[in-house]
Amino acid sequence: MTIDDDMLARRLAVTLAQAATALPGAPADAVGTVRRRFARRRRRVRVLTGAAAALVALATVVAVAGPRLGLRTTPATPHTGIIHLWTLGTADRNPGLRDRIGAFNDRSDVSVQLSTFGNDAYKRVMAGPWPDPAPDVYENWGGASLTEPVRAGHAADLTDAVAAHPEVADVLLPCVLAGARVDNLLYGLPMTGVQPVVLFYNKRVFADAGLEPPRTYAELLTAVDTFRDRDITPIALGGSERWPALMYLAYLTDRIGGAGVFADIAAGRPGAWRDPALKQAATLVRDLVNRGAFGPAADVTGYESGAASRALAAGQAAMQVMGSWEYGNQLRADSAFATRDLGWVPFPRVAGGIGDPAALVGVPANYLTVDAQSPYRTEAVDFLLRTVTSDAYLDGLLEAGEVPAVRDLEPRLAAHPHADFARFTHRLAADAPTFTLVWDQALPSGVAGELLDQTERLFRLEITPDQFVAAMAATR
Amino acid sequence: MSAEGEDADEFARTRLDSLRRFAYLVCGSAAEADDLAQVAVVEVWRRWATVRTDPEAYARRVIVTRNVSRWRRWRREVPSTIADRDGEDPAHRRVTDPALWDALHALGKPERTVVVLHVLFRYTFDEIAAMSGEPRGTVSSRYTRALRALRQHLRARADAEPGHDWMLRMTP
Repeated sequence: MTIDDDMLARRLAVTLAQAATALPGAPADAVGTVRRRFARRRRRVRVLTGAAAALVALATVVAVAGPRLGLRTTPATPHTGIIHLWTLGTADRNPGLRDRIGAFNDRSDVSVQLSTFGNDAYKRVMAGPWPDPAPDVYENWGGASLTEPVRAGHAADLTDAVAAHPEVADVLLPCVLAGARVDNLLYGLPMTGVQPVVLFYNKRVFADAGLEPPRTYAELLTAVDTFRDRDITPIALGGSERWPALMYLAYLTDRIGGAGVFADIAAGRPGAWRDPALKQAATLVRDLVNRGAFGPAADVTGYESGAASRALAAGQAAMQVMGSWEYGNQLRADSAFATRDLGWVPFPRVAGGIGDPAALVGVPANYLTVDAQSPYRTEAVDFLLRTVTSDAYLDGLLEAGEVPAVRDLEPRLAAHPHADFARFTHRLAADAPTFTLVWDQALPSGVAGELLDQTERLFRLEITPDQFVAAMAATR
Repeated sequence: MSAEGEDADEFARTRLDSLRRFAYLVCGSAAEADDLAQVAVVEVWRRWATVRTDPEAYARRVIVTRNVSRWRRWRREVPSTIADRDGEDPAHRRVTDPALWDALHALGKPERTVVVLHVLFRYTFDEIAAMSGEPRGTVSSRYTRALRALRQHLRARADAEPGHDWMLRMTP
């Protein structure tokens, strides 16, 4: 593909994302219309061929519904400018976002216009040179996805603006805000819930084996041996995607050497990959593999296909270390299992490690960042400050199944259908001294790719911990 | 209503707008998008027992195949660009690059579909081939052809309307 093709494809993606959001919402009784069509379809199918039915349906819609449903005009707005807000499609699950956009647009000269993207399309649009057309406010994952725009002058410093608004600054969890700091300045505000990585387990399988969920690494090893001897895969690892394996290295390094070890790596400090904690963590990983912790087929079992999660639910596997989004996946796949037999504990402590056992690894949040070069920078910052800690926005996050990164969540949990898990997740984040972003997202993509390659080789026992460290040290 | 019926209803209530937007991009007409999304939900409901694990994927497939098959049948009778674009197009005044949105309308539906699926929804050519029941080679050459057509269109427009530097780079 030529550079021009790539530029054209990125431009097309932006145009299409903007066009999709331009379509007005369906009329209130749209589902009722579908129900009537469904009923008609059932009757008609007996007398007409399928092709004829489609023609009749289309003719009806073009004649009747077209002018009424799709071609409504919107009155001209008095707005003098547009704040382009780009997010992932998942933002649409929070009804509070559109609510706040509407409220802002009602009282402002510039209007916020939301465009949403799928995960892969968004990464493609945001990778490489700054997109053109560009967003004024954009979602990012913190880590490298924030550091790069900061270095390129495309992230506005929010430090003073947030400090001047205690209703924002004092409400959000410090360890989550820390994920949007670069060189101690704040460049983003959390727009999603917290997603710590935790240890999920199958309560029934543990009860059958007479075991409690592991709180320490030694207990984890005992559980691994017990389940292996009972022909149950001790830990389901979605090895075919590579990133799940990295979570073990990240947590073990944190427990052994503290959060500073990876903070130094992420900051690119010389010699950071050579910290002894990383080699020890790699050694523990190798021991787990040697012990059969991940079963015989870890490298072919997928996470995104749902295979690893199904193994846990079916009792073919006993445990899974995964981000808190796993709860929602289990709930959708098998709500009976998720609400009855799915258990969860923090990632185990490691005896002798100097890391704080309350420290977290995962995704502290996705953030909204304002382009420092936006002509509507002031208005965009104002929109952010009015949005992310508003009641509508926070309650909308909860409604979408997320756990907002606020200090005081309990009053909002009263009617929550999954309050137990939300409370657990929130307590972890509220008590965490540090919340380290998963390594593959924290590092620049080139280094992250090498890390995923080397981690896969480590898990396959193709390289030793020393070779692993040497390969990573060579990336800088 | 049975639990199964509730799930099917929930799907329609929560995903209809997403399907309408998907259909709008694929077909380029707001009115037709409403119709395609409704057809897709009806088809999903009819086959709920088999498609319930991933109803959205099935609905998207219905939209894609139905859109192309209609276009093939109707284009001989009704010039599609006129039929589709009669009235106001909500996206035209909303996108930063209206020229690019217009250029998409000049593509045939099969070309437009591949561009939308691949560029925005990040389907691979293999996935698109499976969706439309065509060989992968057909899909990938269609994509190449579509990009070339878009560049020609943009180039012609840039010559006619100066001031769009990026369009001038679109050497066909």
